[in-house]
Amino acid sequence: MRVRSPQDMVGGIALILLSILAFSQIGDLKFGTASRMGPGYFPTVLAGLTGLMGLIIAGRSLALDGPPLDRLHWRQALPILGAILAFGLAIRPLGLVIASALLFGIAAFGSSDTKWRELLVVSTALILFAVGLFVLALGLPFPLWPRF
Amino acid sequence: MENVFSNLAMGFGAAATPINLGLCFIGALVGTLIGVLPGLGPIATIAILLPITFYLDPLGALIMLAGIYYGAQYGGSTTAILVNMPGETSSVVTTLDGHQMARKGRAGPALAIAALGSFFAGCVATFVVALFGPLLAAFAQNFGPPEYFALMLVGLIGATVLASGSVVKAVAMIIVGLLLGCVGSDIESGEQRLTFGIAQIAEGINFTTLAVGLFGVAEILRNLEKTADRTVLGAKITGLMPTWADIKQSAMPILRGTGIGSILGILPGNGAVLAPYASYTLEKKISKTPSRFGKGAIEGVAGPESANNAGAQTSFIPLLTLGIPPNAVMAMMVGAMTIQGIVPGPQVMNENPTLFWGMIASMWIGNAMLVIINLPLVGVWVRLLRVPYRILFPAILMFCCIGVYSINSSGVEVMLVALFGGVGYFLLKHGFEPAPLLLAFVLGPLMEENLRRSFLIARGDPAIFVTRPLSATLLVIAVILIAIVLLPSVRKRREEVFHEED
Repeated sequence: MRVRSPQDMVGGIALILLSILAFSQIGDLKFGTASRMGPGYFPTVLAGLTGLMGLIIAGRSLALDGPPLDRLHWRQALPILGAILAFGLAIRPLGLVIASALLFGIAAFGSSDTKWRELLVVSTALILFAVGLFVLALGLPFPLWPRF
Repeated sequence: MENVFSNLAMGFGAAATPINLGLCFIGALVGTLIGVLPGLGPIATIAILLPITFYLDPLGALIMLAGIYYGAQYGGSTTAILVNMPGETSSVVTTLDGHQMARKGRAGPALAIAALGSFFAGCVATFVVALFGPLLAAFAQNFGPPEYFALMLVGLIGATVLASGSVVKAVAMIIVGLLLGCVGSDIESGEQRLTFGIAQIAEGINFTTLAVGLFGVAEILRNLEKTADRTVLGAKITGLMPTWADIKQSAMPILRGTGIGSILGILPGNGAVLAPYASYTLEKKISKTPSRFGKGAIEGVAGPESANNAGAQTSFIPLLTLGIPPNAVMAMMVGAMTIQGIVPGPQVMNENPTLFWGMIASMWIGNAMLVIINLPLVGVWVRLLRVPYRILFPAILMFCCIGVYSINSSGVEVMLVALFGGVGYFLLKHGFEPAPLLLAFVLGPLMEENLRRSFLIARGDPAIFVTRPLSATLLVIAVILIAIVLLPSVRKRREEVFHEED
């Protein structure tokens, strides 16, 4: 037994895990009958099919050759995802200006050729643009600064 | 026929107000911009701008979003010709001969023919939409729940046939999309399903959040991996105007491309992606000198570019008349219509005629604007290509976050974007395509509703799907589609077609 298509093996396992996760959430939702489908009918069928597809794709990876695993670039990915999380956490209490500054500051670590001075200029310009467009021109109800 | 013209006149009246003209121009401009820039597609852009459309009136919102979509088709060809890099997947074929023309110093004529061919195709396709839209909508009035269910099934299967990469994986993506569509409260009982107790998804996962994460953020992550330098062709573009010989050589390919694109665009399941390939293959096959192809044959630019734009335009037909999006971009339009409280479907044309005809008219206006945006201003776009990605991606990221926050003023919603962005990255890295997932996510709740209703009508007897002639026909089409994918010869051919994309 040898995994001949590692990408498919990982993808298949992920689908199986997703299926288990879905089943755990379906819990006691009523399944119903075909003529009177309960709220659990569609999710149960689909969670089952997800697991089945996972098995097929993982099983197939033992038989069919496929490309090797593509390296996940955590050094790029984590700062970007972290920057979004930070924006989501900061926007309410700290306001648009600080949340955006955090976003740019953290995301910059995701790029290998960040030039900090340039970033400062670009972020200032972008924040001014965002405030002008979204808050002043479109009038979206954004908090701009921290509220005390 | 007369009706079509009076309706179109009404549409032009609605679309030609100063504000709608302005929105059309903004859409076309933004579309060109993102079309030129590789790494930011129309799906991500429309997703990011979707929340803003909430503050516009319905017609204006749709006009702008449609402009982005077909604008991207124009912009994509500029990058394909000048940089040998498809700005959009739809302009992959254009790189073959378009870039060769540019290297021979004929970038100007290549760009001009691409734009003029697209414009011609856009005009014809607008008429096709105006003519066939009402016919199809009238036909769709007879559709009951079983027909709608069967039709959506055909659409989803079509999407797997045309997805690049593995069919099995595309099917898996569709099932996951349908599963994600179940999240939220049940339509009949109101019970919470698969919500993990998170209040923000009690009413379902927000479409924009999912799309921005899967397409916007995941795309940034992928682009940051490669620090690719773009080599923009240094030579100055001299002489935009094609010669008489160019025009004569291009006329028939443009006509044929328009025809192919218009037909393929209407098919459910994203037929439009095939249009440029089909046109290129045809031109090469009927050419007296097929050896010129790949070395700068102008027919290889004119045909596919026209087909591409015609297909983009006519893919609005299934959306506007049946309420069923044929591809992920059209799924986005469903999102935009839903935000505005409009249920897409055959009734839109009767209940909201100015919306329907105004949007069609705006396509023609937008196409005219695009010729102006693209040809004289081509120098500006070329310069834009030199903006380094390290400056672009923070801007894209900011628009993603602000856009999603503005939907519900919810920070948690923004954090979900990070989650879906991570998921999207995982999918890209393991050879799964996110577009079928998004399409299924939009169709899922509709399918469930129609399936439940069908079974309710039939008291649980599945025979209802085969005893009604229309739904039976559609199901037969679905089976044929499956059979086609499984045929070994088609499989091989399909791999070849999509291989060129990589």
